[in-house]
Amino acid sequence: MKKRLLVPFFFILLMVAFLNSSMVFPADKPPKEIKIGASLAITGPFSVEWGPPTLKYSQALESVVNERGGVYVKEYNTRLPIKLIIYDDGSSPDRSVELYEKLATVDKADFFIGPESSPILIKASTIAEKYGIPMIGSCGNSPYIFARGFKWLVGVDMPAPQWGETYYAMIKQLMDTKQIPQLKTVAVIKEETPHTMDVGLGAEHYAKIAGLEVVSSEKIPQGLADFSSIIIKWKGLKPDIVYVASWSSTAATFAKQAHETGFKPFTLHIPHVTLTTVWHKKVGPEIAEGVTGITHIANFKSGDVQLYNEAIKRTGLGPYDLGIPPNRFLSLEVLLKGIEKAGTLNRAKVMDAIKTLRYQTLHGEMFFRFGYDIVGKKCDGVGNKPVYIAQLQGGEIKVLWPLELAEGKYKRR
Amino acid sequence: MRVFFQLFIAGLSLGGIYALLSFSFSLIISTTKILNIAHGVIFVWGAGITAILWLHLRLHPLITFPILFLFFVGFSLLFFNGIVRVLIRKGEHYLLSGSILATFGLAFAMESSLGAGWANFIDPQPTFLLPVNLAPIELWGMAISSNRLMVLFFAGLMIMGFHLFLKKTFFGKGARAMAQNFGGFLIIGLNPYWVSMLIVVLATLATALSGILYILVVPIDAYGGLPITLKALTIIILAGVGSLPGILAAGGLLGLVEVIGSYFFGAIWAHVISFAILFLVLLFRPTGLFGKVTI
Repeated sequence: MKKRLLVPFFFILLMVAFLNSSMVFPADKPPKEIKIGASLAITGPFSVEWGPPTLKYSQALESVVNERGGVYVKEYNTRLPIKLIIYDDGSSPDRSVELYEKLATVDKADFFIGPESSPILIKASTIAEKYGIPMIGSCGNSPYIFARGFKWLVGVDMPAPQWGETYYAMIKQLMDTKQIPQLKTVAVIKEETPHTMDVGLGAEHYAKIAGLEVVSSEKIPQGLADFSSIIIKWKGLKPDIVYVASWSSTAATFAKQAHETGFKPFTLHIPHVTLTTVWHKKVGPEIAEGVTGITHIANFKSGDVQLYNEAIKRTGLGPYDLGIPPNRFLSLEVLLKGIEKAGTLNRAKVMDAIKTLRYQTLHGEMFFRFGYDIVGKKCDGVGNKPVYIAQLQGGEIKVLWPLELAEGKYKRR
Repeated sequence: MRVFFQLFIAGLSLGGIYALLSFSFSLIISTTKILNIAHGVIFVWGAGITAILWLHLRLHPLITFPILFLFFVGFSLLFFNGIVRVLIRKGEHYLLSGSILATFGLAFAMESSLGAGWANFIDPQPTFLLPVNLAPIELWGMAISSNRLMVLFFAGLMIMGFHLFLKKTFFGKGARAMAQNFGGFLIIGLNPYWVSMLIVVLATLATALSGILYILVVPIDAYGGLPITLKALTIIILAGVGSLPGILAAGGLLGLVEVIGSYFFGAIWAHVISFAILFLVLLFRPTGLFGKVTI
């Protein structure tokens, strides 16, 4: 009797065990950390605009995120710390490609943050595409990068040509309110690298939309040391607005030579020179005062301002010394939000989650656009992080536009 | 007419900058046969260290210049004993190729250490510029840059000084003799190491001083040295190795052609124009416009 009962008992036990194991899979063991790889222009020509301070800010962000417990991953029902692996690409696109290859194959990075500057991102993003690893671009915003139909890349910044649209919106408001006279003509310098060329193209494109005439457009080689021929030509043309789409060192050469030869347009707009206060100190107040440009920094009121500010505080530097901290912040935040939304570290699912993200961040709602037309180019994965128009006033950078964030009023040069 | 005069002045002043970039480079090549690829980086170091002492530590120029002098004399002695002397010992045939390889490495090491060191410890943006903005000189309704005229003047002064040193002084004549006939030079009893060392020290000091003058007119970043070496090499090939006054003339010619060419065809063509001229000179006059020897 007992023997007869034992057999069904064990059979039932086996069935229960089998059903148990087949119905409820135990989650894989969670990884120790989420590895996020990136290359950065810590040395080399682009380090002038990013460099060691950007590394410092990234590391500060990492430490604050981890002190808060890391990122919640539903798949493991736990929070995981992040580990940033950042290498110096020496500002070389080819070196950056090698480093992302290493990050994918040797370091086994789970995700990528893009390198700084469009000329480097345009090449490095091919590795993300090759290995199917999500890459979040930080500062690279040339439309060429996003017009290639890449599936594993998004960039947080608004496309470079749109910087011009923002600037002319401010000029129009100043003219409408009679703060400045009616300006009619624009002359544009375009430094021949991805990004600066796109900023220049935007300067031309949106000038025409704003009803301004582009009287001269000069393409220059990278790092041109002599602007004499352009200045002599423009002295004859007398443009109201001079728009210099170049890196800050090249812009310093132009502004200095224009000053030395008595060329003073009504307004001088050089987007990159208000990214930090360094340019003002370098060229001196008689040249820098009143020059307008763009900034990524403003008095942010929405989003996780506390995380953004705490990381800045830890670096011991000011926001304008850190090589565009809002973009570094945003690229990491987008990735972490994507992981949380996907609830997994599965790369495809995280990428899908990132593409459809909508959340409140420093500048307002963050989202990505697909099939977005920019100056005749269909772009996929471009973000909506805006730039703010600023002016160098008394050695400080004052945000002028949009009006709701303005810290000062436009001053004539 | 006024435009052409402005272009002429602009071209000449650009030529002055080009002469400034290249004359000390030419001095070392013609006397020691060392092709110092790190020339442009030493030039940038001159600018960078001046910026540290003058702008960041706010030292008086009377203190800044002796420190610079001592620093670059020390550097040039290290350079001479660590690279030049080693190469001379290996034999004359090894000088050119050996110096290219050794100074290439030196250039990268110096460039990165200045860039990263500067950005980490001094200023997040390693760009050097002296904020000396002199008022332009007004002439017939045209504004001419005083900074550039000053650079042109000092470049001319330094070049003529070195030219006279090589032509008139005992050591200068010795350096020329060493370059022309090393065997004959040894017979007259001069020590080649001492002569080479003197030339290397003087040329290094002149390079550093040129870097200081350069950042009066053009900002430069810590990584701008190698393009400067390339530009200097273009001027030397154009002028001809060993001709210091030729450097001034070739610099002026190249400056004029670039400025006038840029005015009519666009600045994007400036490099194309200068390298096209270089190509033509190499094709039809390989010794350069004013030179007698090839490197």
